[in-house]
Amino acid sequence: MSRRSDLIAVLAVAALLFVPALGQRRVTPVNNAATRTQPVVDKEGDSLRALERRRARSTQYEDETGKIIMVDTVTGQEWIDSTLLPKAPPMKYSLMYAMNIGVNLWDPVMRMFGQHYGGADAHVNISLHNRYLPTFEMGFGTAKNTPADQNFTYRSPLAPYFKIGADYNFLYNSNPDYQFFALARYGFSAFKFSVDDITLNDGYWGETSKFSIPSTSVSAGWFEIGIGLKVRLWGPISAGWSLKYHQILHRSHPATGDAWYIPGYGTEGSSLSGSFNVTYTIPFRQHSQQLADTASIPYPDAEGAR
Amino acid sequence: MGKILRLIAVMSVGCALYGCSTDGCTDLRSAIPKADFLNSATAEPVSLDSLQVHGVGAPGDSLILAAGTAAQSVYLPMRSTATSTTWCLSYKWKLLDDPRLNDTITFGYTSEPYFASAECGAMYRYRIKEISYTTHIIDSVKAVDSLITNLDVSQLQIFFRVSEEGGEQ
Repeated sequence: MSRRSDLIAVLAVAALLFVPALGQRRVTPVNNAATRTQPVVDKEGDSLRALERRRARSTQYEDETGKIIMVDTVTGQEWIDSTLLPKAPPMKYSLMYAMNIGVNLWDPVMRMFGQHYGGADAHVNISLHNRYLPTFEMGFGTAKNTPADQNFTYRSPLAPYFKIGADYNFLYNSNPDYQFFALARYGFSAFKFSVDDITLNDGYWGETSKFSIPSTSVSAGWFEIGIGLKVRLWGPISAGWSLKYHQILHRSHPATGDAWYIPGYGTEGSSLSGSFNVTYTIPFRQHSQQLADTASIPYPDAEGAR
Repeated sequence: MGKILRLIAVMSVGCALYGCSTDGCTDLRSAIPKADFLNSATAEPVSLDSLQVHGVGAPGDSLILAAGTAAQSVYLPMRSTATSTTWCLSYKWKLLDDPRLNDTITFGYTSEPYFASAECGAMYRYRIKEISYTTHIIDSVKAVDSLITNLDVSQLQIFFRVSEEGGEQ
């Protein structure tokens, strides 16, 4: 009984969905006196003439925000002449504008100042209109840390990491020697870590135990958002900083505890990181030079470097 | 424009170098179970001021909780080199101050190496397999969670038979 009622319900739903579709196929174009006598396509000239007529019978004033408001003197209606609105500036730089290849020197510098982890990475991006810069990064990270007030040595052998994302240059129509940008990245790393030479001194029981946590394979993924800037130093060479907020999206949780250091991300407790990039720019000459000439904005091409 | 960007660069580096991490261990530096004292009749917390606790086999039978101090809970450190730890509870009220009324609690467990964090360090966590106890004044002992971690939360409950007047039976 219930099967039969289910079947009826399914058929009813199918009919509700299917019948209107069949109905639509049977609609034929309307062709009557109204469609034959009324203009179907509004020609550009008609719209312009109508706009000019309306503009001619209107007065205008400027509101407190500086916007020009038109007032139709016949109907009393206020309206805005869209042809007077400021237009978005066109892109001054070509779609395929340049390619940038760079290295991040943040970790090597910080290791010189006593940081116990880090590595180095390189990135490549394509400058689209000097505005959007899809970016790929790859690097290696390692860690070895024996905190002075702690009972262990943390080790993470050299492991790769990858990041993919994009920069958005706010100064896209300005001199490309200067870039002020926002960035977004997704990063991923698969790596190993171990904790060795663990010493436990139990003050109450008067006992000491030594043990290690063997090498464990883990992975982690995270996102980064931030801001940065880049300034051309000379020729095709630029340097810049970025400051990033990052957060782990997913990670392995081994029974022996989470990793302290994640290659490419940094240490677990930090939510901010930075980068110091030195970049080599390769212009796509035949496109960018032509547009740079018309825009009268200097471009860091190879000749400028010499 | 160049000057503004250089200023932003300097500020960014300063921020990156200053206070960008959450240092410090907010949990315990070892896995020590916190045992709450509860009234067996009401399951409400009870404050005991004449309870004395020491580990059986501890050097000099040193006290982990001394009588004369009102306490609603006690931390009971496990022996990391053993698979069981026994605690002795003695009662220093006039009518109960008799070694024959002392209670003992024994935990049987396995030790699991665990790296908590760079700040809290590495330690053993304990997986409780067995709890045995005497029932002179103690009614029962329960483990809230069989895994004893370094989180500073109550992980054991000791239920005492408590009289109406607030002292033990």
